[in-house]
Amino acid sequence: MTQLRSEALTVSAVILAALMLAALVRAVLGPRFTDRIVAVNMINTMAVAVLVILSVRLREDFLVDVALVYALLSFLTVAVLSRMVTARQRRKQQEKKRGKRHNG
Amino acid sequence: MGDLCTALGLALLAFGVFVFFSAVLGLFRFRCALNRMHAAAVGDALGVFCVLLGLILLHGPTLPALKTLLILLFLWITSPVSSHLLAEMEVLTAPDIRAECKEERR
Repeated sequence: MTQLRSEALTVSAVILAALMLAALVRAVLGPRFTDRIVAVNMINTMAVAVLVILSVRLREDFLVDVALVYALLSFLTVAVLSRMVTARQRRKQQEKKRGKRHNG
Repeated sequence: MGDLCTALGLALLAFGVFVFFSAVLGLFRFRCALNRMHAAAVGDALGVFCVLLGLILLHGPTLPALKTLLILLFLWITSPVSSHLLAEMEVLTAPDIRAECKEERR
């Protein structure tokens, strides 16, 4: 049972790493900025899963703490990037509206 | 008891990896960004739930299991928030959002 357990953990970590590579390809290909951020968010979620799997496989308890901090940072990344783009877009639209009012 | 927990944890882990696989497949198969967000949200909610619950069962009743539960709670709280922010950004920046997703008329 112990043998099966460690082998299954290794195999699932390897599969998740391959899926992360596939999502990275999507992030490079993605035609729009949103596609890229969605793919990066997916990669971060899978990285958290891989970190916790490794903490069980290698019996290293500190990797769970690393995964916790990684989850915090991944949320911060997505929130900051999308807020920045949204704010810039809003400002651009307002300037366009103001310019139209001046001209018309 | 220990063997049962290990078997259940491994089964949940395998199912979670399958859910992640289907999420990445959806990331490639869907056409526009909002549809892709739906596929990614499946992995964010169900995939991470199954994987982390299986790993909690594999950890056994220890402190790391509690921390894993904390990670699960945190991901479940923040995933809808980031989805909302991403959808807001997509709707604001898309050149023609009305043509991309045809709304239902009744």
